[in-house]
Amino acid sequence: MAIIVNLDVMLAKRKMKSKDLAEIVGITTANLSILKSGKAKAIRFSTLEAICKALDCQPSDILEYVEN
Amino acid sequence: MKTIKILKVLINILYVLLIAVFGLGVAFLIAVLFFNEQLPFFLQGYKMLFTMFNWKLFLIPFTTVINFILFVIAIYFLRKCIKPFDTSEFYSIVVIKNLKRAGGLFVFIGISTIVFRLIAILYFQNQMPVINGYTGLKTTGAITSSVDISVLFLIIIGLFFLLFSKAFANAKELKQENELTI
Repeated sequence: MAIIVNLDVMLAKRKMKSKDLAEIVGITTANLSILKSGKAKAIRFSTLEAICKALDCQPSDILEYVEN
Repeated sequence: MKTIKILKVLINILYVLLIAVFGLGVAFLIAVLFFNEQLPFFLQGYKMLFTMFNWKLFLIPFTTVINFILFVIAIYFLRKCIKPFDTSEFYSIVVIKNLKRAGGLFVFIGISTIVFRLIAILYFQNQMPVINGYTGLKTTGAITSSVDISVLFLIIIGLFFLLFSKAFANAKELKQENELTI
Protein backbone atom coordinates (compact mmCIF):
# COMPACT_ATOMS: atom_id res chain seq x y z
CA MET A 1 0.00 0.00 0.00
CA ALA A 2 1.25 3.50 -0.85
CA ILE A 3 0.05 5.06 2.39
CA ILE A 4 2.04 4.02 5.45
CA VAL A 5 0.55 4.44 8.93
CA ASN A 6 3.20 5.45 11.45
CA LEU A 7 0.96 5.23 14.47
CA ASP A 8 3.36 2.86 16.26
CA VAL A 9 6.17 5.40 16.01
CA MET A 10 4.01 8.21 17.39
CA LEU A 11 2.73 6.00 20.19
CA ALA A 12 6.32 5.14 21.12
CA LYS A 13 7.33 8.81 20.98
CA ARG A 14 4.46 9.80 23.28
CA LYS A 15 5.02 6.69 25.42
CA MET A 16 1.35 5.84 25.14
CA LYS A 17 -0.21 2.40 24.97
CA SER A 18 -2.58 1.38 22.17
CA LYS A 19 -5.27 0.56 24.68
CA ASP A 20 -5.12 4.07 26.17
CA LEU A 21 -5.22 5.73 22.75
CA ALA A 22 -8.20 3.61 21.72
CA GLU A 23 -9.99 4.66 24.88
CA ILE A 24 -9.27 8.37 24.35
CA VAL A 25 -10.19 8.32 20.66
CA GLY A 26 -13.29 6.22 21.25
CA ILE A 27 -12.55 3.28 18.96
CA THR A 28 -12.03 -0.37 19.77
CA THR A 29 -8.53 -1.81 20.19
CA ALA A 30 -9.34 -4.17 17.32
CA ASN A 31 -9.99 -1.22 15.01
CA LEU A 32 -6.84 0.53 16.22
CA SER A 33 -4.91 -2.65 15.49
CA ILE A 34 -6.37 -2.70 11.93
CA LEU A 35 -5.23 0.90 11.52
CA LYS A 36 -1.74 0.18 12.88
CA SER A 37 -1.27 -2.89 10.72
CA GLY A 38 -2.15 -0.99 7.54
CA LYS A 39 -5.17 -3.17 6.79
CA ALA A 40 -7.57 -0.22 7.01
CA LYS A 41 -9.09 0.91 3.72
CA ALA A 42 -9.98 4.42 4.90
CA ILE A 43 -9.91 6.69 7.92
CA ARG A 44 -12.59 9.18 8.93
CA PHE A 45 -11.54 12.81 9.43
CA SER A 46 -13.14 12.66 12.89
CA THR A 47 -10.97 9.66 13.86
CA LEU A 48 -7.84 11.31 12.46
CA GLU A 49 -8.68 14.51 14.33
CA ALA A 50 -9.15 12.60 17.59
CA ILE A 51 -5.85 10.71 17.13
CA CYS A 52 -3.97 13.93 16.34
CA LYS A 53 -5.52 15.58 19.39
CA ALA A 54 -4.65 12.65 21.66
CA LEU A 55 -1.07 12.36 20.40
CA ASP A 56 -0.59 16.11 19.94
CA CYS A 57 0.69 15.74 16.41
CA GLN A 58 -0.13 16.48 12.76
CA PRO A 59 -1.78 14.05 10.29
CA SER A 60 1.54 13.94 8.42
CA ASP A 61 3.19 12.50 11.52
CA ILE A 62 0.83 9.51 11.32
CA LEU A 63 0.32 9.08 7.60
CA GLU A 64 3.10 8.91 5.04
CA TYR A 65 3.01 8.45 1.26
CA VAL A 66 5.55 6.03 -0.17
CA GLU A 67 5.78 5.37 -3.90
CA ASN A 68 5.43 1.70 -4.80
CA MET B 1 -37.16 -15.05 6.64
CA LYS B 2 -40.17 -16.75 5.16
CA THR B 3 -39.05 -16.40 1.54
CA ILE B 4 -35.72 -18.08 2.18
CA LYS B 5 -37.39 -20.95 4.07
CA ILE B 6 -39.83 -21.55 1.20
CA LEU B 7 -36.97 -21.36 -1.30
CA LYS B 8 -34.93 -23.79 0.79
CA VAL B 9 -37.79 -26.34 0.92
CA LEU B 10 -38.54 -26.04 -2.81
CA ILE B 11 -34.92 -26.31 -3.89
CA ASN B 12 -34.40 -29.34 -1.64
CA ILE B 13 -37.49 -31.03 -3.10
CA LEU B 14 -36.31 -30.28 -6.64
CA TYR B 15 -32.81 -31.57 -5.90
CA VAL B 16 -34.06 -34.82 -4.35
CA LEU B 17 -36.49 -35.38 -7.24
CA LEU B 18 -33.74 -34.76 -9.82
CA ILE B 19 -31.39 -37.16 -8.05
CA ALA B 20 -34.18 -39.75 -7.88
CA VAL B 21 -34.92 -39.37 -11.61
CA PHE B 22 -31.20 -39.69 -12.39
CA GLY B 23 -30.91 -42.78 -10.18
CA LEU B 24 -33.94 -44.37 -11.83
CA GLY B 25 -32.51 -43.61 -15.27
CA VAL B 26 -29.16 -45.19 -14.43
CA ALA B 27 -30.90 -48.23 -12.91
CA PHE B 28 -33.08 -48.58 -16.02
CA LEU B 29 -30.03 -48.34 -18.29
CA ILE B 30 -28.18 -51.02 -16.30
CA ALA B 31 -31.26 -53.23 -16.29
CA VAL B 32 -31.75 -52.87 -20.06
CA LEU B 33 -28.08 -53.52 -20.85
CA PHE B 34 -27.29 -56.37 -18.45
CA PHE B 35 -30.55 -57.89 -17.22
CA ASN B 36 -32.74 -57.50 -20.28
CA GLU B 37 -34.23 -61.01 -20.15
CA GLN B 38 -35.55 -60.49 -16.63
CA LEU B 39 -37.37 -57.27 -17.56
CA PRO B 40 -41.08 -57.16 -18.47
CA PHE B 41 -41.71 -57.84 -22.15
CA PHE B 42 -42.68 -54.25 -23.06
CA LEU B 43 -39.33 -52.96 -21.73
CA GLN B 44 -37.13 -55.52 -23.49
CA GLY B 45 -37.35 -53.70 -26.82
CA TYR B 46 -35.22 -50.82 -25.54
CA LYS B 47 -32.07 -52.93 -25.88
CA MET B 48 -32.45 -52.69 -29.64
CA LEU B 49 -31.45 -49.02 -29.39
CA PHE B 50 -28.02 -50.05 -28.14
CA THR B 51 -27.46 -52.95 -30.51
CA MET B 52 -28.13 -50.87 -33.64
CA PHE B 53 -25.91 -48.07 -32.36
CA ASN B 54 -25.84 -44.98 -34.53
CA TRP B 55 -24.24 -41.79 -33.26
CA LYS B 56 -26.70 -39.60 -35.15
CA LEU B 57 -29.56 -41.32 -33.38
CA PHE B 58 -27.89 -40.87 -30.01
CA LEU B 59 -26.77 -37.25 -30.33
CA ILE B 60 -29.92 -35.62 -28.94
CA PRO B 61 -30.59 -38.17 -26.11
CA PHE B 62 -26.90 -38.08 -25.15
CA THR B 63 -26.75 -34.27 -25.00
CA THR B 64 -30.06 -34.25 -23.12
CA VAL B 65 -28.57 -36.59 -20.49
CA ILE B 66 -25.42 -34.44 -20.25
CA ASN B 67 -27.55 -31.30 -19.91
CA PHE B 68 -29.69 -33.01 -17.28
CA ILE B 69 -26.59 -33.87 -15.24
CA LEU B 70 -25.33 -30.29 -15.63
CA PHE B 71 -28.75 -29.02 -14.52
CA VAL B 72 -28.55 -31.20 -11.37
CA ILE B 73 -25.08 -29.78 -10.67
CA ALA B 74 -26.39 -26.21 -11.17
CA ILE B 75 -29.22 -26.89 -8.70
CA TYR B 76 -26.62 -28.28 -6.28
CA PHE B 77 -24.67 -25.00 -6.55
CA LEU B 78 -27.84 -23.00 -5.92
CA ARG B 79 -28.62 -25.22 -2.95
CA LYS B 80 -25.22 -24.35 -1.49
CA CYS B 81 -26.16 -20.64 -1.64
CA ILE B 82 -29.17 -21.15 0.62
CA LYS B 83 -27.18 -21.76 3.83
CA PRO B 84 -25.44 -18.35 3.79
CA PHE B 85 -28.78 -16.75 2.81
CA ASP B 86 -30.35 -18.36 5.85
CA THR B 87 -27.77 -16.75 8.13
CA SER B 88 -28.07 -13.38 6.29
CA GLU B 89 -24.54 -13.67 4.90
CA PHE B 90 -25.56 -12.46 1.45
CA TYR B 91 -22.18 -11.13 0.46
CA SER B 92 -20.09 -14.19 1.19
CA ILE B 93 -17.64 -15.79 -1.21
CA VAL B 94 -19.73 -19.01 -1.20
CA VAL B 95 -22.76 -17.18 -2.62
CA ILE B 96 -20.71 -15.29 -5.21
CA LYS B 97 -18.89 -18.43 -6.42
CA ASN B 98 -21.92 -20.69 -6.54
CA LEU B 99 -24.18 -18.15 -8.24
CA LYS B 100 -21.52 -17.68 -10.90
CA ARG B 101 -21.15 -21.43 -11.41
CA ALA B 102 -24.91 -22.01 -11.55
CA GLY B 103 -25.41 -19.08 -13.93
CA GLY B 104 -22.64 -20.31 -16.21
CA LEU B 105 -24.13 -23.81 -16.28
CA PHE B 106 -27.63 -22.52 -17.06
CA VAL B 107 -26.32 -20.42 -19.95
CA PHE B 108 -24.26 -23.37 -21.23
CA ILE B 109 -27.26 -25.75 -21.03
CA GLY B 110 -29.48 -23.26 -22.85
CA ILE B 111 -27.02 -22.56 -25.65
CA SER B 112 -26.02 -26.21 -26.12
CA THR B 113 -29.68 -27.25 -26.25
CA ILE B 114 -30.36 -24.72 -29.00
CA VAL B 115 -27.23 -25.69 -30.95
CA PHE B 116 -27.88 -29.45 -30.81
CA ARG B 117 -31.55 -29.06 -31.66
CA LEU B 118 -30.56 -26.94 -34.62
CA ILE B 119 -28.02 -29.55 -35.76
CA ALA B 120 -30.60 -32.30 -35.35
CA ILE B 121 -33.22 -30.43 -37.33
CA LEU B 122 -30.85 -29.38 -40.10
CA TYR B 123 -28.98 -32.65 -40.57
CA PHE B 124 -31.14 -35.49 -39.38
CA GLN B 125 -34.43 -34.48 -40.93
CA ASN B 126 -32.86 -33.93 -44.32
CA GLN B 127 -33.23 -30.20 -44.04
CA MET B 128 -29.67 -29.45 -44.91
CA PRO B 129 -29.66 -26.13 -46.76
CA VAL B 130 -29.62 -26.71 -50.50
CA ILE B 131 -29.30 -24.12 -53.21
CA ASN B 132 -32.89 -23.42 -54.10
CA GLY B 133 -35.54 -20.88 -53.34
CA TYR B 134 -36.62 -22.51 -50.08
CA THR B 135 -33.20 -22.64 -48.39
CA GLY B 136 -33.72 -19.49 -46.37
CA LEU B 137 -37.20 -20.52 -45.34
CA LYS B 138 -36.04 -23.97 -44.24
CA THR B 139 -33.14 -22.56 -42.21
CA THR B 140 -35.40 -19.99 -40.57
CA GLY B 141 -37.89 -22.74 -39.75
CA ALA B 142 -35.15 -24.88 -38.20
CA ILE B 143 -33.88 -21.98 -36.09
CA THR B 144 -37.34 -21.01 -34.85
CA SER B 145 -38.24 -24.57 -33.96
CA SER B 146 -34.97 -25.13 -32.08
CA VAL B 147 -35.39 -22.02 -29.89
CA ASP B 148 -38.28 -22.26 -27.48
CA ILE B 149 -39.35 -20.13 -24.51
CA SER B 150 -38.09 -22.51 -21.81
CA VAL B 151 -34.56 -22.58 -23.26
CA LEU B 152 -34.52 -18.80 -23.67
CA PHE B 153 -35.81 -18.42 -20.11
CA LEU B 154 -33.01 -20.70 -18.87
CA ILE B 155 -30.39 -18.54 -20.62
CA ILE B 156 -31.97 -15.36 -19.20
CA ILE B 157 -32.02 -16.84 -15.67
CA GLY B 158 -28.39 -17.93 -16.10
CA LEU B 159 -27.38 -14.44 -17.18
CA PHE B 160 -29.26 -12.99 -14.20
CA PHE B 161 -27.36 -15.30 -11.86
CA LEU B 162 -24.06 -14.20 -13.43
CA LEU B 163 -25.12 -10.58 -12.97
CA PHE B 164 -26.18 -11.19 -9.35
CA SER B 165 -22.83 -12.84 -8.71
CA LYS B 166 -21.03 -9.75 -10.01
CA ALA B 167 -23.32 -7.43 -8.02
CA PHE B 168 -22.75 -9.46 -4.85
CA ALA B 169 -18.98 -9.38 -5.44
CA ASN B 170 -19.13 -5.58 -5.74
CA ALA B 171 -21.32 -5.35 -2.64
CA LYS B 172 -18.88 -7.56 -0.73
CA GLU B 173 -16.01 -5.27 -1.65
CA LEU B 174 -17.98 -2.18 -0.58
CA LYS B 175 -19.00 -3.87 2.67
CA GLN B 176 -15.40 -4.79 3.40
CA GLU B 177 -14.30 -1.24 2.63
CA ASN B 178 -16.99 0.11 4.93
CA GLU B 179 -15.97 -2.28 7.69
CA LEU B 180 -12.31 -1.34 7.31
CA THR B 181 -13.01 2.38 7.57
CA ILE B 182 -11.83 3.44 11.00
